[in-house]
Amino acid sequence: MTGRDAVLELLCEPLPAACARAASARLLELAAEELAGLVPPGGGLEACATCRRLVLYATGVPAARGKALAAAFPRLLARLDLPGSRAWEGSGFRFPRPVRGLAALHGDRPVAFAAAGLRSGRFTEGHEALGPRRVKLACAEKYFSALGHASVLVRETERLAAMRGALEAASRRMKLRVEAGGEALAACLYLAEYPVPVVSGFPQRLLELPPERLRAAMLALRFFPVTDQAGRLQPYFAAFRDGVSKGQREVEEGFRAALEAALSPSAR
Amino acid sequence: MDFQDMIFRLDRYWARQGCALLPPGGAARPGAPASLAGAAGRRGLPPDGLEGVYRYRVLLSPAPAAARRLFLDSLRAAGLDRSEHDLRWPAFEDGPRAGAGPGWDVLLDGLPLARFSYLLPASGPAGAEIELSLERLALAAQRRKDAASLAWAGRLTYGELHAGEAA
Repeated sequence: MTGRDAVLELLCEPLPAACARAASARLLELAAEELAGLVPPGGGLEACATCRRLVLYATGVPAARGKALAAAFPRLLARLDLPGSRAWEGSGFRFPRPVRGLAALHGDRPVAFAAAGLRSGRFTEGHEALGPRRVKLACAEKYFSALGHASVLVRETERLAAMRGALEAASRRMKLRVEAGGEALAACLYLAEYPVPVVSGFPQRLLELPPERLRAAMLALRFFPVTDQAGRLQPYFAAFRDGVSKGQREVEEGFRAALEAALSPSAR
Repeated sequence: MDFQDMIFRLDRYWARQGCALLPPGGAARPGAPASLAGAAGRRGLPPDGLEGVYRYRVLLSPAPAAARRLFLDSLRAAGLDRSEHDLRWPAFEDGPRAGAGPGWDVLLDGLPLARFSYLLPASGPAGAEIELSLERLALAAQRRKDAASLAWAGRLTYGELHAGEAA
């Protein structure tokens, strides 16, 4: 009889991007130690993070190991020791930003433990733009799809694929090329739980500025320059907003104003 | 909703959350024995990176667990439809003032809207401080592009009210 999957989610206030990246790597490293006897050789461990959550997913944990998870999960979280961690409540648990929720399931059973002054359960939250919407997790195996329906792409690989796909589609639509190198995309990976593409433009006169200055201003704002096939900058840029795509025009105009402000003479 | 009404609504919202309202320009100091809120105008260009001269300042002492949620709900109370905008939370580590902990420079559609910081006194529970640019919020809520065209009260505009003033 194969085991069931297990999931641990820590929901917190927005983490700095570098911290979310480091947290995901550290969680996987620690899980390999703490869950060594719980996950069979055929099972797998996966850690992922967004700006608001840190997630560990283990496949094939035998039914008899449920109690052991309840001991391992809080130990694992207590050992994270991320840069900038501090105690936010009386339990002594340290984390870079306040922790607001803990969800843990083994199959369809909650894994009960306490940490950061909170008790774990089967509830989490969807995307913040949707309002304070609680999401009930039926079982660990449905964790990623339940969050997907609540507009959260938990896995970095999913967000990256969504971002790449959206920029490629924008390139095709404009018959131009969106400059989106791996590094620039990676810098956006922890800024949005559900990246939605935005394409905006800027006044033609700004193209008179040195191209390297334009590119640097766009990259600092996490925007992506748009060029023609010969590599010449065009008066457009692509970017990502976080969440639903209602009110796209307001966002486009805001992003354009942010770029113009960054390129104004007083910003130098 | 005009600028003046937005301030009324923020006052009412934060008063309902248990904040004592400060008179305009009242000095809210960190470490105050109660939660405080109020609008204030500042002369000259403020160094906090926020747009405009009008701020809405909230001190939550102690900070409830839902402090960020309260802030988001206050934006809705002030007429902002959150689903139509992009809100980002670029994080910063400890602020320069003693007791100023980590927080976020909140961006609305890529533009500075507010600064939300935790206050970490040497002893006692953490507080939270929110500084909000009223001009930025009004521009989004009223869907205007420049502050001068903002409705201040009825037919009086922000531009008419501040005509002849030095920037």
